[in-house]
Amino acid sequence: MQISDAIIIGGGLHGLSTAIHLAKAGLNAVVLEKDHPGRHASGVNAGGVRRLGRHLAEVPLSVAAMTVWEHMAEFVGDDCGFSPCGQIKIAETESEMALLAERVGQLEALGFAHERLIDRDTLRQIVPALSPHCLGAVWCPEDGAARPCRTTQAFFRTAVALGVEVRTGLVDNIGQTSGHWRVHAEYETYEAPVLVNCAGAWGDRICHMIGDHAPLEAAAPMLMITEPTEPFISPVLGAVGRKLSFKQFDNGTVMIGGGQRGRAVPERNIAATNLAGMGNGAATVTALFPQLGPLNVVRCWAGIEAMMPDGIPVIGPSAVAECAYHAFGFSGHGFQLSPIVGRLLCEVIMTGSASLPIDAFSITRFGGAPAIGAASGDLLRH
Amino acid sequence: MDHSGLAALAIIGAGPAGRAARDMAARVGIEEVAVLDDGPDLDALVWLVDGDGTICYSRNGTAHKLTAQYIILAPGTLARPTANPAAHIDHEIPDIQITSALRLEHAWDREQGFWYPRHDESLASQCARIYLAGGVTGRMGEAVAKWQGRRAALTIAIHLGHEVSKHDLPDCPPAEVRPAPPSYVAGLEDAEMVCPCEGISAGDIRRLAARGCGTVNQAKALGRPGMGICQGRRCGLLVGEVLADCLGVDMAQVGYFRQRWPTSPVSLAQLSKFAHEDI
Repeated sequence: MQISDAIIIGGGLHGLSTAIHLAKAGLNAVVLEKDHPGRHASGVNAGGVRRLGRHLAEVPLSVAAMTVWEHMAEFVGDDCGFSPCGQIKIAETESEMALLAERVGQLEALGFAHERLIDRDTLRQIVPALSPHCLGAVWCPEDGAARPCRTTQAFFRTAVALGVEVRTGLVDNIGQTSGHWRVHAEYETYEAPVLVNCAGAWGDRICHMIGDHAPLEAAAPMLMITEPTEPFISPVLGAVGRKLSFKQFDNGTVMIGGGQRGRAVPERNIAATNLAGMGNGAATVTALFPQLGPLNVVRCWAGIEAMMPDGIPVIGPSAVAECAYHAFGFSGHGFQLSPIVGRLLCEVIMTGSASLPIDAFSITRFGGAPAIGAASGDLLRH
Repeated sequence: MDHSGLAALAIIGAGPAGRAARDMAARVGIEEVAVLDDGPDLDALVWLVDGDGTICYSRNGTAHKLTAQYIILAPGTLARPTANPAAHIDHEIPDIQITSALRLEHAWDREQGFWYPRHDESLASQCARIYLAGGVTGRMGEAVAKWQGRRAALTIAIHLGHEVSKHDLPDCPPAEVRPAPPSYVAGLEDAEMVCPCEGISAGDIRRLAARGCGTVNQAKALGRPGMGICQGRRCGLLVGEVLADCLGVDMAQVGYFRQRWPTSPVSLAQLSKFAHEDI
């Protein structure tokens, strides 16, 4: 039996971030990871450090997270490869331009000025290689990108240095005994007054074990990498009307992602790519950058990520159980939020409330658990 | 792109195993046989094979798609990678880029020092439509390769409803066991490159091992070996050997790269033709 102050299920960025903040607040946490830290969405995503285009509920969190990213070494002893190369979202039609203008107006009304509307000439100066039919964009010059794998490593090292114990094991049972949570994983039982579910695409299974309900879909977003080519673009580029996230690295390779999905089989850790996803990604890129047609794709991969029906995560207390908390379901854009979500969750655990608004992320928005919801369950059977 | 490409049997690789399979298929009357090989005669570079029988390949700068009822995978062998390209080692290993991307289970042949995809006596792989033949099976030698090509074609002929006689296939000749050359990775200088594409040295791999990295896929995620233009062909085995040597464990424990499509580089222009495909 391992006794601690908190059990965190999931060794991705949100689990590690929560463990770091709890440790700094004096709580000793055990992190249970079924594979290895950052093995799934945290470690294999596109690395976007983006406030641009966020759901309005996420904007305050994303803006706060950005201030951490700008001084990431102070948080985890490494800048995590963060480069403020800017993020840009382009419009190809007048109606898309109108959407962007409306969006920027909404943010300004809320007091946020990080997204700037730019015209065709300015867009051309920032991305000269772009097809001339593009009309304008929203531009966040302070946004950028970081290295996911390096980031997970830095979070992991920091957590361990603060005394967090990271254990490997698949959680197969959760129960309660005299006000404590009792979690079983890989021949070991862990006990603590606080339970935190940061299990990503497996977060719904943990919910099921404690009686919460979360309609999560495990998806497999795909990314492709080309052979190196001459530098031609510095910001991360997205588009209003297309599924695209596009970036050139310092080594000249180009990463193409942004919404193409392969096949996810979370039970078997499988995230398979598919031909249509590769084809759609390639068609999008060559429409915007026709000169890239001859460039070879060298690698393609997919990772398992939790998608919520409304596209925003679950953050906050359980709807049904005392002293249980969630941070999962980031729906393809949790990477940038990781330093702030751990902090907010720590605040909720320590004081009962968070310093930024998180009500929109409450698990109660999905209604109660289905009738079969039990206080404990079998992970593999679910 | 040829959207209507259909075949009863596609043979990938036109080495001894692939040619023997083709000849046997012709003899027993299988029609609609496609042979795909990246040699100058056929110029068909296969970069995707799906368990449902879909094959994508490039020919003369254009992408094609073919759907086959059955596939014989006979990609042959690769030269054993070495840390120093000048120090060529005369030893072949199975070319498992495609079989690894298909997620077939692979076994480590300790004596011959390579990975090979598991298959049953009839050369069926774990994918129902896909058979293996030749050097990729880890059974070495031209005589075995030819026999395996014929055997796989005969099994498929039976599945397709053709009459075959047991005289069509004699017993399998013995495979040539080619013991692995003595391992030299323990003596590699830290500065020597094991992944030249990404500039990863033996020392880099040893440092990863010291940090707790226990598998080649973890090493790839943490240190980038295998992420370059050769797609891991030149370093897959070496990274594993350095890691296993450093950790004092068997190669079977450190594993092999989880390969993915495209298993050969393919241009964005070619790929874009597959937008809105349903696989």
